[in-house]
Amino acid sequence: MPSALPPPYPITLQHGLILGAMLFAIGMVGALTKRNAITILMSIEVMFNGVIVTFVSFARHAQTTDLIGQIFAIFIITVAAADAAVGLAIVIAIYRLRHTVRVDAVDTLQG
Amino acid sequence: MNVLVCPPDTFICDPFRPIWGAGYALLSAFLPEPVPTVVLTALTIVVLFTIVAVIVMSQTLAERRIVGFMQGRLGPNRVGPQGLLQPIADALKLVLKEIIVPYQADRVPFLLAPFVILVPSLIIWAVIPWGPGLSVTDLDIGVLFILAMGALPTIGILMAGWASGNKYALLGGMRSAAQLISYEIPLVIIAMVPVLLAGSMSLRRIVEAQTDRWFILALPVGPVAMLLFLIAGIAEVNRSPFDLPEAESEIIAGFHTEYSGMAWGLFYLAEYANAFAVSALTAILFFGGWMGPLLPPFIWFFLKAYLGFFVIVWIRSTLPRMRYDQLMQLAWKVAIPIALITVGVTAIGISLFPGVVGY
Amino acid sequence: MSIPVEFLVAGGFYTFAALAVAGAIGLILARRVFHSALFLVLTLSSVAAELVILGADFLAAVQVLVYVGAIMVLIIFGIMLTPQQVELPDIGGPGQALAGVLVAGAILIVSTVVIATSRWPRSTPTPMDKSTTETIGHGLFNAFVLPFEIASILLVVAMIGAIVIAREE
Repeated sequence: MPSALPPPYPITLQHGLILGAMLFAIGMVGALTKRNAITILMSIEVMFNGVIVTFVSFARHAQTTDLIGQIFAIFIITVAAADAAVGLAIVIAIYRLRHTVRVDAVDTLQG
Repeated sequence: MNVLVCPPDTFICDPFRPIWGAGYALLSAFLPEPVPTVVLTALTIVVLFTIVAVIVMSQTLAERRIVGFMQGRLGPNRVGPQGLLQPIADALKLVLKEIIVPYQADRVPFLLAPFVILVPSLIIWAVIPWGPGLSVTDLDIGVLFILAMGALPTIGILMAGWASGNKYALLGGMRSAAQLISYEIPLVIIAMVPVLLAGSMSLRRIVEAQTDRWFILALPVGPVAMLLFLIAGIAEVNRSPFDLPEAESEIIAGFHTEYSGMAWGLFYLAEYANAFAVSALTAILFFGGWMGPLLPPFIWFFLKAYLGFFVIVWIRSTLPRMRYDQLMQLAWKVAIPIALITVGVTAIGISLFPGVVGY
Repeated sequence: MSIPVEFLVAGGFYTFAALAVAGAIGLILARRVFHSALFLVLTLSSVAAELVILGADFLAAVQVLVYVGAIMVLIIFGIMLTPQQVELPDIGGPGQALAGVLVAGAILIVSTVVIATSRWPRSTPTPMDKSTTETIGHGLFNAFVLPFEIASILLVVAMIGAIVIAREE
């Protein structure tokens, strides 16, 4: 019987949530510390994926069977696609002007 | 049209089910529960890969002979009777050649790229039904799984192009990737036409929904969808007339310029496996899969798929290569609007005339 | 005795979780941007495998098709179109790295404590009667049709915006 087995054995809600939190945190480290604009974008994608795992874990262990978590995850993927497209367009436009993608090189605000 | 399928439980029609049953009975006598299923599934996968490998090797020879005959010459016919040992000679040559990794190449992506291209081409075969119940597994999302696996080689091509450290390879890789993502859109949209007609994305159910009438005969949309699927599929696998990114006279050899030996052999295999997968999918989605009178179902499937491959080779030897901007214009200005209109007409037709196509 | 299926499922979960986290860490530690992109491909594919284990088969296929097959291609194109002459060190000094790790670590610790100590209504999977595709389809076209339409408008706007911004004059 599954309930007689020690805790790490069947995958529970907490496992999925902790995985989501770990991916989110690692993505946040990248988004906060990196200087290359594209690497920051990629770290944000990792954060999105952490959120997707969280939502899908909730959908699996929800009280209802209408999978709202997975529907929301589809919207997350959609928004991530739009965000990546516009972000990369901006990066390419800046590269054309300044020939760099480092975010500290296009920092023109004083102070 | 009620096709006469050969009687389902005879050995000639479905030889694999009794073999599986005998194996399961043998193994479950002395092994605990999930192990016999796992072992038998692993054996099924090994047999499937062997069959696919043999088919791919035969394709290398078949293409060269067919193209030769169409050009008024014989193809390779020296190595064995009618050249049947030619693929073995080719494979031996490729295995014995040295894999040269260029000095400026990025070693790990360079060596991983052929696998990123080859593995999805082989995984697709897990869901393709060769007969009633004859697939490794049947997923509820079969068509979507195949489309998702068809999107993965793009990354491998970009890896190969970049990691080669060669500007021609990089340019060829980027052009090939742009071509692939452009033709992926009409391919995915038009693959929804058989899904709509069958009411399911599972390949088994799509074949079973064609019992009364094959989907290519679903009149206003069937032939259009089949042609568009074939065109988008040929473009997805970088075959002629869409093979500018790897054309030898134009851009050296595109993204696989720097590859030699078995690494190049893997690209070559992946291309033929992909071409056979496209023709097998055309057979399943539009021509009734394994349905047919009198012969065993897997023979029918094999014949239809190989006929599809013959058509692909025929197109290769007949049509000239398309220029890159013509190819992209075809994708964006012609294929995508026709695909969208076709899916729209299919959806309207199904909701207005329910029950016409067996849904 | 027979090997229960949950053992294999748990093994799969931990394997792909480890791969996903390894990919994310590799993304941060890689020295060249292209290698970071390849580590991101690893993370996204592992998350797709995790989604299969969590019972979201349709979503896993969509993740591979859209995220790995399209968004990653877009990012790699972006990397190829913006070559840098010198690969300068990415992190702005050890102070910044430490601050970033501390902030993210704090968030991780708080989240983990909350997750582990909350009383969740249920911890076992909910049994489903319809396939996920059907359920998602019903949801998207009945309860969530407005977000669906807004998401399509968002995609069109993003596409037009990206083309206008990145166009050469």
